[in-house]
Amino acid sequence: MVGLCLVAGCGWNPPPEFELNLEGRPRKSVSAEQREAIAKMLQRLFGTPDRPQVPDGVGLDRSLVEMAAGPPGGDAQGNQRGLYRRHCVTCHGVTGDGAGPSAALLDPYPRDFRRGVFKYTSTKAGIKPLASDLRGTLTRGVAGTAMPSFAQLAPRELDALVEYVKYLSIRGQAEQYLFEQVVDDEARLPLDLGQVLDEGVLPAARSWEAPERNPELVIAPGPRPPVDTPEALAASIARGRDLYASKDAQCVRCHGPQGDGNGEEKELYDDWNKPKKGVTPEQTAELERLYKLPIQRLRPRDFRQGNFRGGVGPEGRHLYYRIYAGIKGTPMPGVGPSPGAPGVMTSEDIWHVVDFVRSLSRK
Amino acid sequence: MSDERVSASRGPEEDRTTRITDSPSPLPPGSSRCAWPHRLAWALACATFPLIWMGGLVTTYGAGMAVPDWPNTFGYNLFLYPLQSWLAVWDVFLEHSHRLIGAGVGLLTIVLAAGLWICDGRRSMKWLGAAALAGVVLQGTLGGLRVLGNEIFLAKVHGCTAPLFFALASALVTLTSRGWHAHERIEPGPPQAWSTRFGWVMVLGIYLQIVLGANLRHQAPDASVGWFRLWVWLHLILAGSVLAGACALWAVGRGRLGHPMLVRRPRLLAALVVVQVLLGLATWVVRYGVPVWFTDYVWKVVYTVEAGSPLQAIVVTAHVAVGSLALVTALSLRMWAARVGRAARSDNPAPTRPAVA
Repeated sequence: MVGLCLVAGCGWNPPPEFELNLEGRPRKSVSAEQREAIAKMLQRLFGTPDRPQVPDGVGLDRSLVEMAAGPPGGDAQGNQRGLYRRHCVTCHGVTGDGAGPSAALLDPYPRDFRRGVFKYTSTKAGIKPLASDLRGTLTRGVAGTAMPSFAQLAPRELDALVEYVKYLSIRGQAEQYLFEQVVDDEARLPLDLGQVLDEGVLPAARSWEAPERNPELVIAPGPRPPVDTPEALAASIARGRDLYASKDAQCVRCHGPQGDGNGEEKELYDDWNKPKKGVTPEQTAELERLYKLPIQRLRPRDFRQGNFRGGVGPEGRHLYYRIYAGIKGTPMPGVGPSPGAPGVMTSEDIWHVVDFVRSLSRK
Repeated sequence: MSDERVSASRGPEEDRTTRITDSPSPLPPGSSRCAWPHRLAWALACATFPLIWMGGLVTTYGAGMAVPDWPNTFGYNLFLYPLQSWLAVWDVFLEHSHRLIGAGVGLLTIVLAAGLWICDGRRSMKWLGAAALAGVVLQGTLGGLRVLGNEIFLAKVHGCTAPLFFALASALVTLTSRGWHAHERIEPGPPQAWSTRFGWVMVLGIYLQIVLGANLRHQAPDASVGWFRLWVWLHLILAGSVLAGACALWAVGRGRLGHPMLVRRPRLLAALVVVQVLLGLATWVVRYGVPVWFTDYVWKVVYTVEAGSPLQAIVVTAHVAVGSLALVTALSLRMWAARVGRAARSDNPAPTRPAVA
């Protein structure tokens, strides 16, 4: 039994706790007092993994959050609880930091929810995803990665997971605010709850509500150019090829002229890995030590594989979103207009590029 | 009944029989073999294997806490839980079925232990029966405490001890078998020292793999990335070692081992380990997807992992079950190697060293 314990990892497991986000900071740069102040404030606002709380004014469904939180279990009627720990925690971690037990062996790494940045959305650049976007990723999965399709879950279970991801995300953004206040700006302790709520929590919560309330922030694809004949489709593909190769779009820099992901740009990193990159390999190694997961390079998609991780959607609608708004948190830029930027392609142009990109995987 | 009884003492064989003292020893000369313990041991082993499958499915689906009480099921006596409720919810169906099969295995173990105590003349067999009974009680209690405490560590231990019980049940099948008793049918071959010693290494290696696998399947939610990575690498390295060992046993034993059991068992073990390695690779794919290096350099395949799909459940659970089968096969090989080795030594006793003047 002793041998079994040694190999199996001995010890009763206490309830898991949210971990402070010290990534990217030397441990000594945050004093014990500051850590305690941040942790206490977060617990006061958001509770614990077993007993989550939704702060006042945050528009999350408390019953759904509670359904997803805590240890897994169920009742005789099949009502489930602890869904996040049952389905997600191995990869995404208790805190939603994308560094669950299995994360280091996965490529790409699981999403870190704490930044509130999600790759595959139908919203404009810089805007939070819709709940339906997160739900779509859950049901569809992300092909070619470890993110599974949870299509077999009941609709309410999917809703609960989406709500919990939003909860972790808002919590992570509030934590970011607290670190900025307490560590970077050296705010006086103890912290004022009202101020934290008004300046750190509610703005994050509102940023999630914004696209649900304001249709202007959601991408509305323009009418699709007709491609109902082979000639029309060929013309659309040819136009898309020209746009793809154009200087404005800059697609070839990463995806290459053949669309095989072999462009001239090789050193690509997403927003979660970019901070780990130093100028020299030694610097990179030093920076990596401040994070749980080592640096991971990004690979531009090889369109010939036909593997579009955000999905294709009906008539290529999801590809349209990717080209319009880019892939958030990555170097993939959007070409459509967004708040404060006019965009470099029209809706019709984007549809042509969609047709061209899809044609590459049909070859 | 008479054909089930094997006389252990027949003329010149008698002398030889008395020299064979494998542990637990064959029946003493003149005594007869009762067939019921063997039949019961078979029934126990055959019932334990689906129990391991069902336990594996419970873990694969994450249904370990689907029924929050124990030993009752939602307040009902285990055997009186309404059929309709049992079949209504998938998780409950899995967990309750696991408990019911477990209860059946427990009852079978009681009957087998009683049968060995009454029918088998060997003292060691009586105690092995008692050990099986203690084992099944311990296993059930571990499962119950895992539920009552919602404790992942106990789930891990429960998953590690299940193959041990299966191995014990399978050993009882061998030890009560007619072949084990039938000394005259054992064809002495060359000494089996290599396969005897290496047999233990294989048993230990496979069991260690089962423990590592259980550890990977029962991760604490806040376990560190470093530990998981270490377990995976150890699991891979040991898988390669076990595969090499099984192939070596098969290749070396193919030409040399005379007894049919020692030809068939290494072949079966090698086949099971090959299947197990393939299932292990498939388990990673259905659980975490196709590795990027594979799609980059080997085959550009697009695969989406489907959580809770039948494919995922079958592959992952089969990996658990075949691991247990490999364990009992290695144990059986080890037992038969020792048995045949002792028969060979008793036929060709080592020359006595001349006394030094």
